[in-house]
Parts: sequence; C-alpha cells; structure tokens
Amino acid sequence: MNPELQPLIDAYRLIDPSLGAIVPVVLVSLFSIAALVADLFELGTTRGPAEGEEGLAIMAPYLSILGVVLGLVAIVWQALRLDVMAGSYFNGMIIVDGFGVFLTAVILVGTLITLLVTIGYCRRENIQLAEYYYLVLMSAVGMMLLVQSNNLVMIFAALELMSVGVYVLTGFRRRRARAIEGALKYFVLGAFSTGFLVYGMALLYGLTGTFDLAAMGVAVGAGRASPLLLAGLGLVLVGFGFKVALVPFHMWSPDVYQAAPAPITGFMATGVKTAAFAALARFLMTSFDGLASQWIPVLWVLAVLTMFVGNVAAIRQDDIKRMLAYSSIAHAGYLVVALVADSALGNAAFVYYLAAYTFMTLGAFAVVVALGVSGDESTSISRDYGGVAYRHPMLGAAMALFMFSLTGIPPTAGFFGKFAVFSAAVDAGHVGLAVLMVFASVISAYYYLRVVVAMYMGAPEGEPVRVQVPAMAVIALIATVVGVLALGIYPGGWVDLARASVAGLQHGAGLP
Amino acid sequence: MSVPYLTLIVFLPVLGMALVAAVPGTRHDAIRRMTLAVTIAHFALSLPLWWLYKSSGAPYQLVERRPWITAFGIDYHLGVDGVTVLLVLLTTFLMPLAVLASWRYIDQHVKEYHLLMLLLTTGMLGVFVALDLFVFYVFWELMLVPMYFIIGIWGGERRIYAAVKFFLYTFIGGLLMLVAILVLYFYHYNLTGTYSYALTDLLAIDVPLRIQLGLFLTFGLAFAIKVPMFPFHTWLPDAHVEAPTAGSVILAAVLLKMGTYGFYRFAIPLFPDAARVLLPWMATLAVIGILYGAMVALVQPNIKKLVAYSSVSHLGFVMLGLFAFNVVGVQGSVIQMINHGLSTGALFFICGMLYERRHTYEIESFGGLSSVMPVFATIFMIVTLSSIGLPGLNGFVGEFLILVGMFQTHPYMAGLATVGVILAAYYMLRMFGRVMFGPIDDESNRGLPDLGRRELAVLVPIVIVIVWIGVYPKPFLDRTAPSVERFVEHVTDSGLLAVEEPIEVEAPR
Repeated sequence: MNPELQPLIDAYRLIDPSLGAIVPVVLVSLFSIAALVADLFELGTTRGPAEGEEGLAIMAPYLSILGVVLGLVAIVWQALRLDVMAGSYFNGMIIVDGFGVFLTAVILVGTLITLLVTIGYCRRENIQLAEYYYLVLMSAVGMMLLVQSNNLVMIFAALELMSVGVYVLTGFRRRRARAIEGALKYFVLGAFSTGFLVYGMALLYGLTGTFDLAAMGVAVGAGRASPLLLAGLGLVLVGFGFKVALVPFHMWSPDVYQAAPAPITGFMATGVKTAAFAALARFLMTSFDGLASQWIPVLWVLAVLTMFVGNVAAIRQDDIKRMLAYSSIAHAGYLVVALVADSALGNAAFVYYLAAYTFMTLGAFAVVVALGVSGDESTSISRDYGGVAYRHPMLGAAMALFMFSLTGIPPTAGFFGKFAVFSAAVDAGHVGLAVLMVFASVISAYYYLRVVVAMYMGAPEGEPVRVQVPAMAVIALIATVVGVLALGIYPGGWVDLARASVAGLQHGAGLP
Repeated sequence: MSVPYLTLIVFLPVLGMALVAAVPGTRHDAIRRMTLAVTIAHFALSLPLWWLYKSSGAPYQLVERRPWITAFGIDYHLGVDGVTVLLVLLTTFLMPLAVLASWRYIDQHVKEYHLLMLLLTTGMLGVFVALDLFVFYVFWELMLVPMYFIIGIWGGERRIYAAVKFFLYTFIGGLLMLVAILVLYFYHYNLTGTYSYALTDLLAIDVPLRIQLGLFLTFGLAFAIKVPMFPFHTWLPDAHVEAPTAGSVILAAVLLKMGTYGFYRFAIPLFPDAARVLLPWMATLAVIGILYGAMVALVQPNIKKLVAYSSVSHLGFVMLGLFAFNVVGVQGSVIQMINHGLSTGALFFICGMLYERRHTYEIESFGGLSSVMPVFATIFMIVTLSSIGLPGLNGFVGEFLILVGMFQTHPYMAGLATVGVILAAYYMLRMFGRVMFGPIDDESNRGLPDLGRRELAVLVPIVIVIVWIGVYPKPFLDRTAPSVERFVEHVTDSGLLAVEEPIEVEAPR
C-alpha cells in the first residue's frame, strides 16, 4: 500500500466509529448538494425556463425527497442499533441517544411532508429553483444536528445553519413586498436573539470552563447558583425563547409566518420549533438539572403567558396563516408545560407532543397550500374557506380532523398529546398549571372551530374556486391524516417509544 | 362470555357508517333506508341485553377488559349495570325513530347527516358502558363532535351560535373533569403503587374529604353542565331550539342523561362523602332548576322553547331523586331518566311534525288543531299527560318515587318540588289547549294533514312504552333495583362520615 496514504488511513480510523453517528446528516447534506448540482446540468439543456417561470428544477425535488427518505432509513438503522451506538462522538460534539434519534426522525418526516407539499406549490407558483430544495434540506441538516448537539458551540453552529436557510426561504417570493418585509424582520430579530444566546453561552463558559453540556452539568452542580450563572442561563433562555416563539419573544412570528410561502410556514412551525425545543430541553435537563428549582418558576410564567397570549391573539385572526402562527405560539406554551413538569413523564409527553404537533400542523398547512391558487394563497378564513367542505369533501374532512386534533378532541394525536402533558403536570404537582392549560385550550377551541364553521356551515363569497390537488400533496395529506389518527387511536406504542427515548435525558445521564 | 357483545353494540354504528358511505350521495332515499336498516338492526342487536343482564348477578356484567395503553395503565374496559342497560336500550330504541323523523326534514347533505347520526350513537353508547375513566372521557368528547355538526349544519337560524356554545360549554367541563380524573389517578397510584383508570379500582380507595370536595365539584361541573343544572343551563335552550328535530330529540333524550348518569356512576360513588356534605347545595340547585325551568316555560311563546325549559325542570327532578340517597328516590330518578327520554323525546318529535306542516313553532299561530288532526291530538295528549306525570302513565311513577324518597330525608325540598309538578301541569296543559283546542283562527291550519304512516311509526312505539312503564313499571324497577341498592349502600356507609344517619345538615336558604 502506498505509505503516503497512511496518515489518511489513520485519520479515517480515528473518525470511523463516529461516522455512523452522522450517517443521516451526511446523506441529507449530500443530496442537498446533488440537487443543486443537478440544476446546473439542466440549465444547459435546450429547454430553458419559459415565460414567467423561475428556474427549471426537474431533478432537484426528487433528489431531495430521495435524500430525506434515505436519511429516514439511516435513522431507523440508528434506532435499531441504539444499544450499541448510544454515546457521544466527535469529541463530545454529537450525541446519539433515543431523544435525538426520535426527534431527528420527527424532523425528517416533517421535512418529507414539506417537500411533498412543496413540489405542487412550486409548480403552481412557477418557482422551479433548485436553491429552494437545497435550502430546505440544509435547514433540515441544521435541525438534525441541533437535536443531536451535546456542546454549546455545536448548538450554536447548528442553530445558525438551520436559521440562515429559513431566513432565505421566508423571502423566497422576492417580488412581494410582504415577503421581503417578513424575511428582513425575521433575519434582524433572529440575529438579535442569537446575540443573546451567544452572550449567555459566553457567560456560562466563563463560569464553568466548558462548552460540553454534560461537563457543564457537573460544574453547575446543585444548590445555590451565582447570579452570573443565572444571568447566563437567562440569556440562553431568551435566545431560545425567540427561536421557539415564547411570549414575550414571539412578536416576529405572525408576520414571518404570513410572509413565507405556505409550505415553508409549515416547515418553520414544526421543524424549527421541534429542533430548537429539543436543544433547549437537552440543555436544561443535562446542564441545569441541578438548578431546576431556579428555572421551573420562570418557565411556569412563560408557559402561562405563551398559552394565553397565543390563544387570545389567535381569536381575532382572519388570515389562516396568522391564526396558525398564533396557534403554534400557544402550542409552544403547552410544550413548556411539559418541561415545567421536569420528570421522565414530562419529557416523554414533550417528545410525544412534538411528534403529534408536527403531524397536525403540517397537515393543516398542507390543506392551506392545497386550497391556494396560482398567485393567491387564499388564506382568508371568512372569504376563502366558506363552504369548502362541500366543494372538497376530503380536504374539508382532513382540515376538520386537524382542527379537532389541534383543539385536543379524541381520538386524535393532539388529544393524547394534551392528555400526556396534563398527566405530567398533575403528576409533578402543578395542578394549577394544568387547569390554566384547560382554560387556554377552551379559548383555542373557539378559533379552531371557526375554520370548521366556515368550511361546513358557511357559504362561499363570490365565485367559488375549485382546486386540483397534486398527487404528491395527496400523499402528504394521507400521511398526516394517518399520523394524526395512528398516534391518537393507538398511542400505546408511541408512548413507549417516547418514554424509552427520554430515558437517558435527565440527571446528567448524557455523560459519555 | 367470549363474544365481545358490548363492543359490538358500541361499534356496530361505525360499521354501519361504512355501509351508508358506500351509497352514492345523490340517492337520498337509499341513504335514509340504509341508515334506518342499520339502526333497526342495532336495536335488535342490543335488545338481548335486557335478558343477558341478570339483576341478581355481579355489579358490572358483560365486562370486557383489554389493555389499551399499558404505559399509563389504561384499559379498554366496558361493563353494564342495571341502569346502563336501560339507557343503552333507550338510545338504540330512539335512533331508528330519529332517522324516520328526519326523513323529510333533512334534505341537504343527507349522507353527512346520517353518517354523523351513526357516529353520535357510538359516542353515546361508549359513554354509557365505559368502566375506565379514560375510555369514558374519550367517548364523552367523541360524541361532542357529531352533535356539534348536527346542530351547526342542519339547525335553525342561530345554529352556529348554538353549536359553538354547546361545544364550548361541554368542552370546558370535560377538560376540567380530565384534570380531576388525573388527580384521582395519581392519588390512587400514590396509595397503591399501581396505575389504573378502572372505576372499580378507584372506587376502592378512600380519598380525604378535602380532596373529595374539589374533585366532586370538578366532576360535578362537567356533569351539571350536561344535565343541565341551574345555573349552567343556558346553552340548552339555544341548542334545543336551533337543532334539527332529531338532534333535539337525541339531545334531550340521551345526551342530557349523560350528565345525570355521570353523577350516578362516577361523581357520587367516587366521592360519596363530598356528595353527602354538598347534598343540601345540590338539592337546592335541583329545586331551583325545577321551579325556574317551570316558570320560564310558563311564559314561552314558542313550543320548542317551552319543551326545552320543561327539560330543565324535569332534569331537576332527576337530580333531586339521586340526591335523596335512598333506594326509593334513586329508583325514581332512574325511571325518570327513561321517562324524560321518552316523553320529552316524543314532544320534540311532535314539535318537529308541527314545524314540518307550518314552518313555525309559535304557539300563537296554532289553535283548534284537534278537529283537523284527531290522531295527532290523541297522541299529543298522551305524551303531554305523561310529561305532566298523570297516574297510569310513566311520568307519574318517576316523579312519585322521587318525591317519596326526598320526603323521607328533606321534606321541605320535596314540598317545594311539588310546586314544580303543579306548574308543569299548568304550562303543558295551557300550551296543549292553545295549540289543539279553541277555534281555528288561522286559515292555513284548516287543511293540515293528520299523521302519516311514517309519523305514526315514530310516535306509536314511544306511546306504547309510555303506557307500559306507567301501568307496569315492575320489570324496569326490578332490573335497576340491585344496582340502585348498591349505589345507596356505597354512598351511605362508606368512607369517613359513615356515622350519623341520616345526616342532618341545614339547607342553605
């Protein structure tokens, strides 16, 4: 063998065991680049973009779907080998554990559904640019790394990778003033919040001498905390609060959700939220478990504020994307309730809720996309949703199902998610918080029902529009409907999975 | 028993939905016939319950128990007692009639309507037979959705308002109850170390009075909204008046029973001490409901509203009987649940028939109908008298037992409630008189057709049962007696306050 290759082989031997940990990430990254490169060849072909068309991405959509599917296969492979693979890799940067694997799978399923919905959308809106798919996949890579990060630096890098992609996607319909405004707002506020995050991380590093989450947990210890340490924790909470849109850090989200293309809004509402929430949970459970008594009251207040502000503000919205934006704020509040419980049950509820939330929210957005027409997303509930259920019985029924699931009516995923969160809260002695969550849910029932009322009991305004739902979007809708019902009717297996996935999360169990 | 009989009863309507869904949406009559066939088959299937349930046997019979969500200790757990049997049969008995009564009234979105009716049946039956509190809650919320659609799509002018109000009222009560269920569940876990939502397990533990009070009030709120007890009744007139005929019938006959049944099966037995401590308050609310409902009914110019308020009054009697905490009173209460289902159900059917002829519910626009519709007048008379509680008809049996039961423990409450009986006679008979007797003022009333065959098929079966219970209630009382005795026994000598007898508590003024 060529001796000059020896150092390379040694290096490979060194990282070889680590490679298995990032197979899904690598696969998705490779295919995102492949999508971009394939576009270059297509542009050289005889058929250029037609009048009014942007780009000519033919392969990109399918390559990206393939990449995500392969990523999912790899995740399943990791999940099956979890007992041998669990541990930390790349000098503690990446951790493979049930929590990460479960939520990575949720994110990839969400990405897949987003892509399926996107294809028809892009064709309708004449946005055939490979960059779009590249950015979706790269954001997904950021999300995957975020849920598997075991180090603050890694968390920061992954968060940025995810965010930058989404900033651009928000403004993708660049000829619209609203899209530009939304993207700019998102970018500026996002950068601002990152500042908080980095400053907090710097403080924590200065005080504990490490970026590693588990080592930080040891250094933080239990008992009394210095004010500076709490300041660092607070700043990091603010940073994450922006990303997952907790009140009072939520101001950006309705504008941004409205500005972004509808499939991307769904992607942001689920993927970004799942990933950022996962990192926050891991950070709190691993590094600051000893100071739980310090952050639980803070999260308690944030949860109540988020639930009520989100739900009350949603009542007044006529634009369904804005309504869903506020609703997703409210759901962030419910997720925080699960974190407040600070128990194995609470974490299982948290993970389960994220999966349920992903299915029902993406499903709702899939319907929103399907009901739009070229150049007009038709998002006014009072104007565009009147009598929809009779023009499109299947879309209407699916939307009703998602709305009932978001409300929390059995037998849907949303119901069992809420039930699990209630259980965790009551178990941890936060009965008052559970009761507040009940009142918040009742408020939410009102505006979710408005959509159902419009679809089933309203009449169309003006000439009713019939839409053709693309085959890919039909697949996405079926997948989300099945997901919502499967998680709701047979939650047992999913709950066991969620419980197993969070087994190692708490009490410094993330140590290598 | 190896055949999952209760599961079959509960889920047959869902199977029926598949059959109805297979019929093309434009063939309205075929859809109606198919649904009718399904509901009749369903009634036939559930009828053996009457004999399969042995009143001398175990407290809960035909029990099915299979693990569902093991991590939370949730079982798919069903079972019936004597009271459940009657309520299940009442439901399956009324469904075919409800389908018949909708034959002409529902002419839009016919397929959706019948699918929802079947789904509603499953939800209602599930609530009655569930023995696991989680399963109970699931069915409790499940039946909310179809009823919401039935009111909201096929209802009257203010249907959306009524539907949303109905939904939100029930939903908030239900969710709070869910939290209470969880509190009880974790309390049980802390005592015994096992996770269980099974009613039988939760009945076995002693809960301190302080917790009992909180939980009883929370459960009670959910059920009181459903009953509805004063002051949680405000959704009822809206929902009743706006709902289509069959919706009103099912709402009155079955859905309201879920509230009283919830008290009977869950709230009172689970928290007997709290129930006894709160007895004066509950009884007072029941009496207020009786008198208030009756007085509001007195001034209603609208037949449907009048019947709706009479429901508030009648359900007050049911609650009063339950809280008598003696066998006579509770027996009366149980019989009264069935009676109210039959007579108020029939009254709503009758309202619907009047509406189909004249498109109005205003008492003013009728008058002298007995001369043009003699058969209708006869049946209407019987139903009215049954609702008033005339001896020989079913209403008398229930009200009499309730008053006797209550008189033994709280004579003044019984005395006040009697005023409600008198008022009921006044407003019902006055309404009947203004609609059916006197001169025919309005020319459009002159040519009204009498009942057709379909309408007779709706009303005659109910009238038969009304007379049966009135003349020979023994089979009904026998079936429920052991269950009722167990209920009374459990309430009066379990737990912490099992000393004084009967408890002397001052009633609030």
